[in-house]
Amino acid sequence: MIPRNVQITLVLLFLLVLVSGVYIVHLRRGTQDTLRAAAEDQTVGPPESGRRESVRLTIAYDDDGVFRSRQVSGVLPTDSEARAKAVLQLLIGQYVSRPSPHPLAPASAVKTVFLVNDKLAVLDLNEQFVDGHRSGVMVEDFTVLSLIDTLASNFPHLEQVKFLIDGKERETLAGHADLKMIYSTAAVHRVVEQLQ
Amino acid sequence: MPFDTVPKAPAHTPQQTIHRPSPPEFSVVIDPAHGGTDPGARIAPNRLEKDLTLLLAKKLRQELQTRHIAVILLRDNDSDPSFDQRTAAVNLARPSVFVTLHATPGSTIHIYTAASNRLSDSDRERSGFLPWDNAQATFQNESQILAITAAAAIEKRELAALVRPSFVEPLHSIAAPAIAVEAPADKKGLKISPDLIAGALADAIAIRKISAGARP
Repeated sequence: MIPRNVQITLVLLFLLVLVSGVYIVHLRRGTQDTLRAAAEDQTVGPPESGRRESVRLTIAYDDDGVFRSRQVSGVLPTDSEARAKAVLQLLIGQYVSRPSPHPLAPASAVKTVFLVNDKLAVLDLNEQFVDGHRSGVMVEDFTVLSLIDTLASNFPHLEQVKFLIDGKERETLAGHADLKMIYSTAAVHRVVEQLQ
Repeated sequence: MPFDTVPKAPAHTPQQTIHRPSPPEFSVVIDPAHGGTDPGARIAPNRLEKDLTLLLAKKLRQELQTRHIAVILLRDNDSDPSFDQRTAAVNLARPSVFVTLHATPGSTIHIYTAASNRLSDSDRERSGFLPWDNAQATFQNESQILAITAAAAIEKRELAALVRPSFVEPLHSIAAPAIAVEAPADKKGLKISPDLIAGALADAIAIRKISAGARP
């Protein structure tokens, strides 16, 4: 016959083990969610396989209201579309790092770049890019112009650029800059030159 | 869509035998940007761009009416017409000037004209059909002059104003001299008195009216 006090202790120990198990499972799930969210939020950088090359970025500076060109080096893939995406990710990397000349939401990224006859580029941005974008005429214009001019600087045959958001058309970036338009790279460069 | 003051058609008398073309009545369409479910910029938790644009639009309407200029307001409540609805209303009204109003955190008034998206826009004629997405092309010089005049009127009140090209909606589709004005704001509201901004813009539009030779 087990004494009553030992019985109570055993029951309490069993309950303690049960509660601890549930708590551990809960913690484990939480950690997995955090890791998954962090992985999703990370801006995808260019792949490390390939040749290191010089890339020209057209960077927007909100405080001064100007664009400045900067040469950076990065590892670029050989495939044109992947290369275009990597170039844009280098630009976005400048904006999502802190301090930033033109802050973008941390998870902002280009999902895909489609090149049509090397003359038309269709940029598919992720939803976080648009949902986290600041609203305002100048800040939205600066994002659009710097993406287009950076791409055109590194792909000289490019004539037009069109934006999609998660595969769909959207009217504006965050209420102001026109995203329905097919942008002429030459016309955009002319505007960028005025603001350099 | 609430139209505040619709320009009246010229009166005809049956006795008239000679028809002289009367000068076009000068009218202005004001677009308080955003509205309804589109708040625009969240300047502070309780300070939305859509409310500030409406406030400024009503002030501008008042200033223009005191100068005897006909005004159409694209919204005078918390409605949210789409860009296409706004553009259609403007182009059907055939105004002498179009002004779209915005507000954003900052300290300077910005005046935007539509940045050209083509290299040879000046070749187009106004008499034929204008492409919907590029109707502004033939009005670009006049829009630029209006923007510079507005900046000068603002600077006359010892305030700073910058004129810039932009791809802001719906300027490119507007078949009239058109500008977008972005007023600086903070959590308290517009940083510059709406009376001052509206007064300066109304002065610039009145100058445009004189230079267009419209009837008083």
